[in-house]
Amino acid sequence: MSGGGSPPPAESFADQAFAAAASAYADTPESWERAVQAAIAGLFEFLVERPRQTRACIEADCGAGPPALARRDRAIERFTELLAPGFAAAPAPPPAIVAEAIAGGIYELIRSYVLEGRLHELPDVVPDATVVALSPFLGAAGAVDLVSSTKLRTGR
Amino acid sequence: MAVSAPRAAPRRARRPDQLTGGRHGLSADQVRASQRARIVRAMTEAVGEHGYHGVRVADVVWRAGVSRKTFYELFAGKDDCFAVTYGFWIDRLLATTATAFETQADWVDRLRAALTALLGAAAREPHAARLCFSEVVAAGDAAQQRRERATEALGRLFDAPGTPAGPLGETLRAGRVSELCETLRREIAAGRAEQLPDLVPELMCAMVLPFLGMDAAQRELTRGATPAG
Repeated sequence: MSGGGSPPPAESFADQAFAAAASAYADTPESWERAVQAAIAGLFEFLVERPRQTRACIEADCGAGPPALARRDRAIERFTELLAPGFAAAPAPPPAIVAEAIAGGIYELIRSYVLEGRLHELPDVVPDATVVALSPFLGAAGAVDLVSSTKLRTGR
Repeated sequence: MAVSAPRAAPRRARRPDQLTGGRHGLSADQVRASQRARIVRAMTEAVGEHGYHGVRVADVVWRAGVSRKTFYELFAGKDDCFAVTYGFWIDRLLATTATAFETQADWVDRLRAALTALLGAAAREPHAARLCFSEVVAAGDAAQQRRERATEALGRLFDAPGTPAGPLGETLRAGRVSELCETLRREIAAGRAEQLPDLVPELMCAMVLPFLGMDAAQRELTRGATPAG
């Protein structure tokens, strides 16, 4: 992890959350698509196991000024790194906003579940979040097939 | 540093939309409507400059040229006033968007017209855009309930041909709305509300990609603008 002194608590928590997603991603060598799915599951699991910190982090991000916005942007930017391999097959690199929109959409999903008091339900929507994240790369049908085959294999 | 309203100025010049004192021949209802409209505009300006958490009722009252007593006769408090102001603006933005959407036949043209209209309207009213897409997430329950309805309305833009029926289709649509709103929030928070129309090609690319694939999405980057209607 990066050095450079003690980050503020919310930033430290965002770092840890991203580390959980990156670890799950790295532990899934089967394919990039499966790795993204694992990263989302790993991230959601990390957040659900730490409800108090997750709520504090998300609530701190709500309209709390430039530092919070910058922190959120960094979290979104880091998640876009996990999506980069998906664009490698494109005939021309799509604009950065495509990956940012996907990562931002997942952030918004998490934010809405936290603010609606449904954080504990996040693991149930891993398939939905995976479809949202992968449909730009696989198409809607391909993303659904991937998620469905996971359900068949794991029973989840 | 931006010039902002004094935080506790007792007097200010009369607003252009402020009624003159004394006899003006208006009914009590007309006076109330005028005061309410000024307060909504004042809340918009105050949130646009200070953000939701930075706004005090005193700012709004001062900008609107009304007394605190009048404010509390019309609104239950800051949250209530914010929710009404949000409703005022988001209803207009959604109506503009829906009207543009209906001017076209093909779904991609419809979406492009709708996004062009939405981003153009947001750019023309940057304070309202900040209120609707950035600051609303910090507001109370009443605003959140209105926001959920607005999210559902935006979801209808993504009813693309071939979208799976049932929960999956809803997931895809909700995902695109989340992506759209988060992108707008990020741009507005970064002070780029007035440049939003420049984003239409890139946003179109991102929004049609899951439905039509990479080739069609890339074409949106170089396509000419669709009239917003």
